[in-house]
Amino acid sequence: MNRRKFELPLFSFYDLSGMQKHLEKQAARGWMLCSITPFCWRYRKIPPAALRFSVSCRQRIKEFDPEPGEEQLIFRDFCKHAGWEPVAASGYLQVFCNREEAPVPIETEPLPVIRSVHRIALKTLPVWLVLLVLSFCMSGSFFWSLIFNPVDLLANATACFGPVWILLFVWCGADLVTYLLWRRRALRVAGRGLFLPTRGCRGLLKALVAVALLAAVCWFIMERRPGLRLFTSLYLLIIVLLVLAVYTVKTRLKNRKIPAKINMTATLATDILLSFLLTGALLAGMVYAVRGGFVPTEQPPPLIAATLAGVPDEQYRSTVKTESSLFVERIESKQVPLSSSDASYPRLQYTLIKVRIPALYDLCLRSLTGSDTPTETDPTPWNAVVAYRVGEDFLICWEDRLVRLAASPALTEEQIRIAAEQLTEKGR
Amino acid sequence: MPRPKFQTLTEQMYYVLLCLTRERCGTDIMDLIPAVTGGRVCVGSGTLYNLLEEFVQAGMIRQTQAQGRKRSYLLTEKGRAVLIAEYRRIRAQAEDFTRMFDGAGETG
Repeated sequence: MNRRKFELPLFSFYDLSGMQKHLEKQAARGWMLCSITPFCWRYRKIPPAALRFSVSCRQRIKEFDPEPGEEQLIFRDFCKHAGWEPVAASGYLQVFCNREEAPVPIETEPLPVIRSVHRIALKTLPVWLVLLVLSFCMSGSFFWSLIFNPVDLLANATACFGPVWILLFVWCGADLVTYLLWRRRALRVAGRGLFLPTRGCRGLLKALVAVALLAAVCWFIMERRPGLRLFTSLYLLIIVLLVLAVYTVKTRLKNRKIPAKINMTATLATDILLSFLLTGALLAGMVYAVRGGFVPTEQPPPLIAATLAGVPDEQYRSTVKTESSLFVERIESKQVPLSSSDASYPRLQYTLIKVRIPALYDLCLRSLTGSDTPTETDPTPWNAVVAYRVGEDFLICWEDRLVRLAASPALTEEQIRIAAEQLTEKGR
Repeated sequence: MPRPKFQTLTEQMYYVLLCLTRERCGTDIMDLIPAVTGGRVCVGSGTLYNLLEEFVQAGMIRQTQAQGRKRSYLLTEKGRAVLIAEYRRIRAQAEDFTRMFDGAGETG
């Protein structure tokens, strides 16, 4: 049976009532909070008990101090005298518990509590505003792309994070409004000596975390740019290692009662040194991998001009850009014969869109025509459903894919047949 | 226009100052107030800690001695004046009540 558990505490900083109720529920289920870390709340197993909890935010705990300060100890002495035992503390949070059924609360005057919470709110406000503005801009960008350039958005795996930005904006806004409303009402009833319980946006925050995790998983599955998943995974691993290492150094030195200034210096030095080392190692590894050819290269384009010309690939200079998501895959390729090659070799530029969701077909078609008016042409050589001419370009539509293709000089019938096979992957 | 701080005292402020007409420490105050008021008034440990700090800063009480972390306090002249003013205010309210309220027997 597990004797310990960890929990991500998804509470707004001002939701003291919510935290208290949650801790009381956990105690009734047999879990007692034993420490608060920057990553989680840690619990230990206890016999289920009806405990009362109080969360105070009046004093800031100095993270590097090996022992609680004098004022903090005096405050704890007062609390202990009233039966409130300290349970855990970190940052602005100090948690106490009491075994009595109806103990005198730690705070019996509401105004100082409202003031303490507001002091934290003012310190947190810059971060809140930055998140609000950033998420607003990213959400706006997402919606703009969705309306005016949807295929760009749909083809990009990072579009998975669009809903995350939207939800982040909603949560930031809702949390700020909820806090301000609570504060206004709390001040009103504080005049009568009454406390107004807090209510944060915990549900929204849980939804945000869930959507963010889902988006990360989806991105990881759908991202096709070579090496990006590996690089991102390694980079995230570095961040995790760095955070854990710095936290471990700080905690170990604190437990050994090392003075605060020495602890802070050592922790900062560890942070800087490890950052340089790990990031340097990652960059060196990348350079080595690229030079050694270990980094997976871009997938070859589906239609290769050299095949149409019947020459080796080395006669061409080609670029290919692949974007893929759950909705569409878009491949853009430009293939130009080298200056030393025969002038009769075709230059090729095309955009191929594979439509994974049939409902998006027309949208993709419009993205390829742009503002040009297509003229219908014979689809038979392409073995397609329908074909158009858009200026000098071909726009070919199959059941699950479309391509806009420009070739110079014009392709022969045989080259068209080969191109159709390669673009529909039938020749493989 | 907001009142100046401590112009009128809350019940908890009043009783904390009342307790400090004699030299006492914080934990003594926490026990004395419910004893004196028959449990009607209780001061939370956090509230008391806060009030003592504010009263010291306002010059209404002074620290008299410190035995380790146990600090004792006593009312200053300023604190005494504030307390007496608050008592007079409460007494005036009680007299107004007696004078104006119909059914004076209910005041018993």
